[in-house]
Amino acid sequence: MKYLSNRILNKIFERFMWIGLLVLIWIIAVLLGDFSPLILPSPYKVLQALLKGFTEGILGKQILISIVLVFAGMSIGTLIALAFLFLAVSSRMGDSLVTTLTAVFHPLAGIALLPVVILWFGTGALSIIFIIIHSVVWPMVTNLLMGYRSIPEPYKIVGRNYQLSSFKMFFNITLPGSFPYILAGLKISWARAWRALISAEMIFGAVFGSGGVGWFIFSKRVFMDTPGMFAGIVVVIIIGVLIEDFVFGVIESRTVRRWGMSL
Amino acid sequence: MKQSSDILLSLKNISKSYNCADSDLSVLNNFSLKIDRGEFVSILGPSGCGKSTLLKICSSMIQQESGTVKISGQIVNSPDKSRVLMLQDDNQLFPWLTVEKNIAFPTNSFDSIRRESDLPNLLEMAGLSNYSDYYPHQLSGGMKKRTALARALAGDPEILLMDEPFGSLDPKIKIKLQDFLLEIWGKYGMTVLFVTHDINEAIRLGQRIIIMSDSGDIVCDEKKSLSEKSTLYEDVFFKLYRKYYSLLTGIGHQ
Repeated sequence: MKYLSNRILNKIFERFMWIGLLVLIWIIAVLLGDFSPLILPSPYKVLQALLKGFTEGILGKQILISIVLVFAGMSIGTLIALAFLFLAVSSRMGDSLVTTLTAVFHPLAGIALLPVVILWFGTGALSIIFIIIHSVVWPMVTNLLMGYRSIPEPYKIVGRNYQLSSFKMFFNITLPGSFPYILAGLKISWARAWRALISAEMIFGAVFGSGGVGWFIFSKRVFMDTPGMFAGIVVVIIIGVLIEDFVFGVIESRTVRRWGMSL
Repeated sequence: MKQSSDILLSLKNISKSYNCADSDLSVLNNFSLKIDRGEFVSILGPSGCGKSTLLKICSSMIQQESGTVKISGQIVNSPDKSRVLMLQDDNQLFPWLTVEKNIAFPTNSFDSIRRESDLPNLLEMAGLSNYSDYYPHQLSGGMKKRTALARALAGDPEILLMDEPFGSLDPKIKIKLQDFLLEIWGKYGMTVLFVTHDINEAIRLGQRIIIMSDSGDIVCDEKKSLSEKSTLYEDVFFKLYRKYYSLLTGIGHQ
């Protein structure tokens, strides 16, 4: 336990050290370079804009909207990916269908779908969730299938030996057996979903009245509020790092690391 | 003459071949064997003679092309909990379950085949009471084997089909595990088919020794002519060793 907490503390320390170094380079660039504040504002101005976003603006609400949207999209996307996995492992035809769908849709960038999605669902939250689902499902299915195929044969033999039903086989052996790949899939999906969300928000505008973080950045651009734009980017980065380190970090240490199954 | 009621496992005219590089490689050809209830049978044979295939057919993990497998006179075609197949691999244990949950796996998968209350006994017998909440990757090779054995017993099988289960262990741990296996066999009285490459192991464990040729035929099938107390170091043991060794190496060089 002590080892674990030391490890996490070390990781946090290293994170802060590198981020601190980047901020230092930023400060030096602002001090030494003769940049217009409209091109490169100082970290102090960005911090001020960030605080202003919370106190005078509705940045808190916008962050919440972004997080709700990304989690809704990821949850639905993960469930669809699991259903595809179940289909793929249940029959040869199912496998062929899922493999083909993945080959067709995985290379298709979410942004390329936007015009069609706007036609179908308008410019509301539904369209954003659709784009997130699209960006989540295919990398997730690819990872889930890779995980399923990497399950050692002896696990399946044990399952068959104890006459597990397809349902029990799936939940007792397939899912935990491929969990390292599921987790890797979730991480990739999260990163793609978060990017897709910010892009979609910038294009679709103010969903739920106020829009999310993407809209915050876009609206600052309209008024040429460069510190505000940077503040939005900082928020995107901070949320990304927090989810990666804390949410996935904790899941990883409680599952695959504990089980000795890290990839 | 054997009473038919003594026979637990009966294989009749089993044939099995594998498709290798566009040609069929026959491993078992009209193979027949009868095993009595409660017997401990060691099976020796050169690599590729069909020993592992035989166990997989006995457990119905693979299907024979012809012939029948009967348990207590009934034809069987699909795997079931009464015939537990144990492979050589350590990774038959589930890494995501603790020792205790691995051992309990058969009881959780079914409507309590062996009573839950037996779990502490199984843990204790396997010397794993202090390691019940360890994960498999935290165990030594010998402990993993004991966990796998305890799990196999938790399902209360009639037959244990063991495919070189102690193959990768050092001799000291191997002997301890052999003693452990003999102890549980004495206690639970299940039937054991034990495939091994190790002649010492075959003699030490088996009541009956079967030697297969590399064409998959039985070239020796006899009850072990040793007293219970014979050890690895007695002349009678060496005589048997030499006999089986010459049978095996003779086969290997044909």
